[in-house]
Amino acid sequence: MQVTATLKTSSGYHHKNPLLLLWTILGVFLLLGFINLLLPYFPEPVGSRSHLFVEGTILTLELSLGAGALGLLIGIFLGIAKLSRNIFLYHFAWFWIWILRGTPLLTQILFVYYAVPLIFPALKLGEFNSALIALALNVGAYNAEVVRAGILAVPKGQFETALSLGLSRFQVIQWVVFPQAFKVMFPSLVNNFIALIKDSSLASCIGLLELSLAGNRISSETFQPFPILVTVAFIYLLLTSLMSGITYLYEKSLHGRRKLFET
Amino acid sequence: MVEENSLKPDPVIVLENVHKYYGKTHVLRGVCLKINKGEIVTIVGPSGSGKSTFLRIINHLEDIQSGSVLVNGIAVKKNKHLKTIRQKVGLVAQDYQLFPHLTIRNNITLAPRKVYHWHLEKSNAIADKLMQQLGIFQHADKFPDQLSGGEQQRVCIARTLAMQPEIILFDEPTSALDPARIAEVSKIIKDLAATGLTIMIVTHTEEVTKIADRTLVLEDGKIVYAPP
Repeated sequence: MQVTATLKTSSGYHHKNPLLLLWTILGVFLLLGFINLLLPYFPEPVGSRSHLFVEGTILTLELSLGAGALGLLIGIFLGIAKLSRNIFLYHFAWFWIWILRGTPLLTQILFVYYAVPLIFPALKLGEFNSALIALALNVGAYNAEVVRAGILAVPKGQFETALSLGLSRFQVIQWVVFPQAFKVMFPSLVNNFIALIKDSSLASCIGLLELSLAGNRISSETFQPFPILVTVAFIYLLLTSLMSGITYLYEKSLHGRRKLFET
Repeated sequence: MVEENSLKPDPVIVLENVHKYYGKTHVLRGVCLKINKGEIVTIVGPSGSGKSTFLRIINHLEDIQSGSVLVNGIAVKKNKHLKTIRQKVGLVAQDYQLFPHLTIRNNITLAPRKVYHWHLEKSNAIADKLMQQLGIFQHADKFPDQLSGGEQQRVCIARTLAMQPEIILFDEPTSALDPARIAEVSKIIKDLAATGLTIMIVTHTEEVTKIADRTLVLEDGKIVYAPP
C-alpha cells in the first residue's frame, strides 16, 4: 500500500509559508529593540554612547533595505534584459553589469556623490541618496547575474508548454518561470544582500553617519578602539545573522534541511 | 467519423510545402498535409525523422523557413493571431512539463484563469470535472512530483483540455508507459476524438496507430506514406 504522501515533496514545493515576510519584519524590529534596550547596559565606553550606535544601526538598516529593494528591481530588470532577444536591451544590460561589477564600489559611491553633480547639477542628491543609488546599482548588477542564472535553470520545456497553453510571454515569466526561478535565486540573492549590509559601511567615505562611521568617530573620540569596534562588528553580525536565519527558514520551508545524500 | 468528413472535407490543419532547418540540418523537406476536423492522425517514423518538429511547428514553437502552416485557415506565424491559435491547439509534451510549483488543480486552472480570465470558481469547477473524468481527482491538491508517470500524463491532458482546444497534439504519449497504461491512454484519446477534437499523435507504439483514422510515415523530413 502506498504511504500517504506528506505535504513536502522531493522537488521542494509545498504549500507556502505565508509567515516568512512577517518573521522578517518582526526580526528587524526585535533586533532594533534588542540593541536599543541592551546597549545602554554595556560597559563604558559603549554604554553612555549607545544612542550613537542605535542611530548608526538604523541608518545602516535603512540604507541596506532601501538599496536591497531597489537593487532587486534593478537586478530583475537587468537579468531579464540580458536574456532578451532585443539586441539593444541585451547590450544595455551587458554594459551596465560590466561597468558596475568591474569597478570598485567605493569609486562608484564617490562618483555618484562628487562627480555626477558636476556634470548634471540637478542630480545633487545628498549623502544618503547618493549612497543608496550607488549601492542599489552595484548590488543590482550582481543580482542581475543571479536572476539570469535562476531563469536559465528553468527547463526550456516549461516556457514552451506555458506558451502553448496560450499564456502571453509576460504571463509565462510571471506565473511559470519566476516562481520556479526564485527558488534557485533566493540563496544567492540573500548572499548579495548580506554583502550589501557590510558594503554599506563604504558610505562612510562620503560622510554618511552609518554604523561603521559612528563607530570610528566614537573610537577616535575615546581612544578605545577595541570595545567600540567589537560592538560595531557585533551589531553587523546580528544584522547578517538575521538574514541568514531567514534564508534558513525559507529553505527549510522548501525542502527541509536537504543533505547531499539522503541515505 | 472518417466517412462524415470525407463527404465534406473540412481541413483544420493545412501544411503546404513546409521546410524547416536547424542551422544547416534540413529537418522537414517540403511537407504537405491536410488534416480534417475530428480526425485522429498518427505520425510514425524513425527517430530523427522530424516527427516532433512536425508537431512543434503547428504550435509555432519552431519557426519554419519556407512554406505555410494554416490552422483554421489562419497562418501560424508570429502575429496577433498566434495567441488565439495556441489557445485552440493544445500540446501534450512527451515529458508532460507539469508546473512543479503548482498543485494539480492549479496546474489545470492556471491558463484558463490567466488567458480566458475565468474566475476561480468557474475554472475550479471545470478542473474538478476534468480530474474526475480522468480519474485523478484524488490528487487535486498534490504536487506533480507526488504522482506517477501515468497520472502526470493525465494531468497534462486535463491541463490541455481545460483550455477547450479544438486540436490536440500528442508528442509520444506512450513512450514512458507500461502496456496497460498504453491501452488506457489510447482509450482516452479515442474518447476525446469522439467529442469532435482533432488529434495528431507522434508515436512509436503500434497500439496507438490502431485508433487512428490515418497513419502517416515520416522519413528524412518527408511524408513517405500517406493514405488518402
